[in-house]
Amino acid sequence: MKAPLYLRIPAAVVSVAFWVFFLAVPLVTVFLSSAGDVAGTGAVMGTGMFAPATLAVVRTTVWQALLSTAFSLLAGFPLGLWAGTVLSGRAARISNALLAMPYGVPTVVVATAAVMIMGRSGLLARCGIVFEWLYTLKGLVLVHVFLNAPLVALVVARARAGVPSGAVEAARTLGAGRLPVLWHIVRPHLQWNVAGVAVQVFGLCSMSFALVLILGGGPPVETLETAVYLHVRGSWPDVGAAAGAAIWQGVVTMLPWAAVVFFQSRSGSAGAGAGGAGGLPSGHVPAGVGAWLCVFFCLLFVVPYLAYLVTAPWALWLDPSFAGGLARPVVLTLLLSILSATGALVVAAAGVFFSLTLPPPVRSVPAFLMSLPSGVSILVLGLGVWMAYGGLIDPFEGSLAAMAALQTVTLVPLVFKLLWPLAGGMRFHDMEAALTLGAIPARAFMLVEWPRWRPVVLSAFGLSLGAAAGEVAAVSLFYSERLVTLPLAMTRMMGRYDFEKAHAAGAALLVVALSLAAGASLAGDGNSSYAGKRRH
Amino acid sequence: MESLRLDGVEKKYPGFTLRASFEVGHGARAAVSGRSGSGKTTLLRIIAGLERFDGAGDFGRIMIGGDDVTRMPPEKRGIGYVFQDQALFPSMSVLDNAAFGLRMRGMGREERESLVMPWLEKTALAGQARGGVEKLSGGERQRLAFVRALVWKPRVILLDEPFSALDAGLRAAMRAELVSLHLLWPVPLLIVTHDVEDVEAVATARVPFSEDAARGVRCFG
Repeated sequence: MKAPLYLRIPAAVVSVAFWVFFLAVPLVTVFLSSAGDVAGTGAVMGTGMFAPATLAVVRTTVWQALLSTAFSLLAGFPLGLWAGTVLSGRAARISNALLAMPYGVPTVVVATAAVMIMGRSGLLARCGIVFEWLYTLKGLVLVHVFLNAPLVALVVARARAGVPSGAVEAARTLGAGRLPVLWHIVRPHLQWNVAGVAVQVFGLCSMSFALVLILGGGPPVETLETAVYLHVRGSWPDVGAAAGAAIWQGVVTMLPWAAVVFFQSRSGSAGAGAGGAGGLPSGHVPAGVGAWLCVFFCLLFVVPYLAYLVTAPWALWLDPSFAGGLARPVVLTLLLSILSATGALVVAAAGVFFSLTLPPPVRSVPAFLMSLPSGVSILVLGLGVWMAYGGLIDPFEGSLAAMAALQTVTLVPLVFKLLWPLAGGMRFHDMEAALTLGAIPARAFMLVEWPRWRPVVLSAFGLSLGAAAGEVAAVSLFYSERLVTLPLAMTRMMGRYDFEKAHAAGAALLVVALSLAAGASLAGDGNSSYAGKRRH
Repeated sequence: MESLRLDGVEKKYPGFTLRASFEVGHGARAAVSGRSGSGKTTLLRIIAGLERFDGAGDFGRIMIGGDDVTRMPPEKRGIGYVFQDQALFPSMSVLDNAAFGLRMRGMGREERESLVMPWLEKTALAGQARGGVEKLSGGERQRLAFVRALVWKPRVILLDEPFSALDAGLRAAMRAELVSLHLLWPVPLLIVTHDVEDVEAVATARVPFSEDAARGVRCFG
């Protein structure tokens, strides 16, 4: 059975237009800019790209990402191995939720939480524990590790839980102790997943924006991401330098993305391998003391956010000047989230339907192209949009459409990844049966397929809403004084050392983001996944 | 001369108690049969050390030769175990699977190969020695599982429903294969099966099974 023409043509048009106008054209524009002046922007590349200052930023970006990745692995790998070995049933479900939660926290909240907890007047400082180095590379790496170690643990735990217990027992009866079992039996199952999650963490840390801006922004730690931003929206705009940084950033982020794609194909779990957060086994084995101790360690990654929520100055929201001042950002954040999530759903669904109209050998091509934005920095893409469509969009004037378009692009891989498996299991014969009984194609789809799609669509929509609500990078390129979202308002509050207000705003944002993620998970009935989600 | 002896072994589970007292002598092939869910596999797992046996309701001794192995970890017991689903290592070649027990005993690669290859030739697996196990047929997988359990010369061999996944024609061949391989290394062999034909073709002795349903006690031996 083929989808009707009125569905096939729009699906093809939306998919191709999305890819061409919002991905290919902006990226090609940025890369072509290295050849000379582009669209009168004065972007002359080549010399800037290899200037000592630019190379120093490249080094810092790669170095902080490498350190963050290494320490995230050091912290997350043993915990994941432990969790995957000892947890099952309820303990596994709890630890699964605890390890997945940090991935749903907006990075701007993570940054403010770090300041509120470890800053000079933070919670720990009041207990006599002072982190003088919070605003240095060391501080940035610490926060990156705290954010990414749970992801590593989750992926490792899931992979470890997937090791056949029979193989482990067989090895033990053949004389293998715990370490030989780990090396000969468990390692082959884990290696591609670990490699995948390592490069994914590297990619996330090299694209980290809000954290670097708040904790290291400016001279202490400048990365390519903040360099692109400062060259575009700083006091001295320099598009040429921004494009130079963007090209480097493209190289730094695309390589890990390509590696993730490769590792996922090797681990045989493209849907969840490196980026997946599928879950631990959920049998009914009663958990022992060791299992609950493991859950306790998983809980440690969530404690700071709980402390952040508990100590938040909620009363500020009763102050009319505070609440009134944030009313517009809150409304704009909600509007932008809805626009972006809807856009991502439409584009991803179009991509799925378009793929289905293609012959099987080339069906995976759209899937590959739809996942491409995962490897592109949103600021690089934003710069490309500006350079390519400079006549239409002036970032200094602000553009809600550009913000929504950029967020849509970055959310599409996540939504597509969730919808794509559904396309593989479409019951065409059942729909044909409905057609022979008199249903029009749309009605046949709604009756036969929609019950299967609904939870995943709701889940994808909820996850996208949550991710878009906390997004800063796309917003920061195209904001204006009348277009300030809640995360951006928080960033500005932090810049003005208005920590209490940022804390109150961040706590509200955290509640909203986690509620949306939890709602998405419930709606998806376990089908939801953080696979492919990104952070800015 | 090895023997396997279970002295008053008792383990409590929610809803039932498993008891076992019997001995399998050197060269003997004893069959444990009983209804599905009677605890046959659990019994093998207790003997192999794969089931915890240090709780308040656990009693008795498991002796191999003159050694009490009751509290030993599985890797120290010297038991060759053939799992119901073979549990071959998918990341290793046929040769590496077969030689795993020797490798764990610190044997070098060349020595391992020289010991394993004759076994693979005897079981018609030598041609696939360097290949992956995923390419093996059901019968070949079963033969490899036998070789892997025997080649390192264990003190006892345990087999858990080794023929259950095979079709009828292959079963008969595998029973004969098992007996001929066991003759190469005739240590005590305990086979769990629900198939009467397996018992008749392979076993030289039987471990009786009885059950007191009212008290929830299941006895082997």
